[in-house]
Amino acid sequence: MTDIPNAIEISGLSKSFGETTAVNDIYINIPPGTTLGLLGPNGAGKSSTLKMLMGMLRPTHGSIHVFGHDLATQAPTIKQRIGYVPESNQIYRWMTITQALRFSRAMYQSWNDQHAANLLDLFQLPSHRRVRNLSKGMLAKLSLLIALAHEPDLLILDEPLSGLDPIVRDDFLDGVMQDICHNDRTVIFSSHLLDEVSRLADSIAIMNAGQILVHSHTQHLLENARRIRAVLHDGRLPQSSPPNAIWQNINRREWLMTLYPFSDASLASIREQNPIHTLDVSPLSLDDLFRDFIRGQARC
Amino acid sequence: MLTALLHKDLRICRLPLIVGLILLLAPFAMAAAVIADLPLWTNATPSNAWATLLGTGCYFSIMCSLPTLAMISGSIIAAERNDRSAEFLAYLPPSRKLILSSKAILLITVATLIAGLNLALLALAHTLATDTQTVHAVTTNLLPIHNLAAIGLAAAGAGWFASSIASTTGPPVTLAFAAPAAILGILAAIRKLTNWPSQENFSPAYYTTCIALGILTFTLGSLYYIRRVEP
Repeated sequence: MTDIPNAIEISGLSKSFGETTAVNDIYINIPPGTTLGLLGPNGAGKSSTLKMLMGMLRPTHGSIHVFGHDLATQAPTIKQRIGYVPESNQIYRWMTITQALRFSRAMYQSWNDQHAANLLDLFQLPSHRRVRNLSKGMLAKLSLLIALAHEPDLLILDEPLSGLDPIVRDDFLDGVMQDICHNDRTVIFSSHLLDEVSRLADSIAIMNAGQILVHSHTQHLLENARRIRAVLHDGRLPQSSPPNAIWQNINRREWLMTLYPFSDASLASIREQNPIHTLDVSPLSLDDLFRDFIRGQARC
Repeated sequence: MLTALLHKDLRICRLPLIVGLILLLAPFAMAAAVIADLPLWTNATPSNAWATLLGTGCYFSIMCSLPTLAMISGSIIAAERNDRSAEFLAYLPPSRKLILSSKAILLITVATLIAGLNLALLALAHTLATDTQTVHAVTTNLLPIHNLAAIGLAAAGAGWFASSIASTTGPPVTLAFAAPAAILGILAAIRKLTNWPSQENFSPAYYTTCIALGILTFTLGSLYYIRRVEP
């Protein structure tokens, strides 16, 4: 049996800016051919993590291996296999789209002219227009085109949809989806737009305050999380909080909590150890689950 | 890859290069305009007159090209931080060494073209002239060309070093222009305090310092740029 290395292995990664810790000791392994949605509020450390992954920031601690290569020593080789779309694109503003593509083509050994032409057609970009005259949506599409045209094994999208209108967002996501469907590509997609992430991601990692709170398969995550609404006996308070409650709130007799991972045993334990009058269990949307993870950590 | 980087650097330095071209050629026109009224043009044989014109033009062309080197070296790295295009370049595959090589090649090529063109014309002037004095008739009391080169090296080195650190082009270009004067001022202050270097050794000490600092700042700037991770 041959061992297929993970596309990405992040081990003990930390990044500090002075006394501020942006990323705090994170570990993630991403198998090849999967799509990871990296979720988190602003300032969670998503962009810093992705910039370290692109070799644009030097980690304070830890290591990053991409396709088995150490990023610290082999960044130029690894970058040949990565396509990156940043939150704000800084392509040379004096270049026309044709010049930007010609320049990028010279940088990648695996640049595919036919694929680039197809994407140019798909995104309907005016090839003779200068980058400085492009709208934000066109710029995002150009950035995606450059990221995809060399057919990378790993695609990193760092909040590429922020500030784009819904139509451009759809065009962009269609482009990404089409590409992912036709290729065995590993994708990391950072966003705080949960609908888009849930459309694309096989697995989800939720980040806050520089830490990974949870990293799991999207379906597994949603199937194993439950919102519990308990009504307590009059005048009584909860006696014991379950250890797997990621967030809870008490308002008079109503005790709301989100359990992850949820199990029947934990439900039975809540019933046994607390003065419960009635108890409802309901599934959560990704949106609710994300909020509960973040709110729960804020209360801690 | 290097060709594309060079093409991009040429475009980034387009303005200093255009100014540089004007500064390279304009001194010949100005020398012609000035010399045409002097007796050394009207009374000289045609070959000697041309030798004087070329010798004078070359001298001022080299002198006027020092600001070109200062502008290019001061802006060639920082310009990409100024408009944040360095962030785009940072996630493309070329290594820092390759990116820096492209910039260094451009700077060295410009310096070589300036020196090469002027030295070739100077050689032609010496061929045309009946004696060396004719070639340097106008510039005989001015700084020798090799001293101008030392000043140019100090200016370009300071600009390169500052450009590798700064995020805008203004301060590095200013530093490049100010560096030769600053070295002169510092050396004069040292002389006043320590009586070193002596009056007769002051000029050699100044030009040696210019060359040494030029090489040192080029080296330090390059090392800093390669080691710096942030674009």
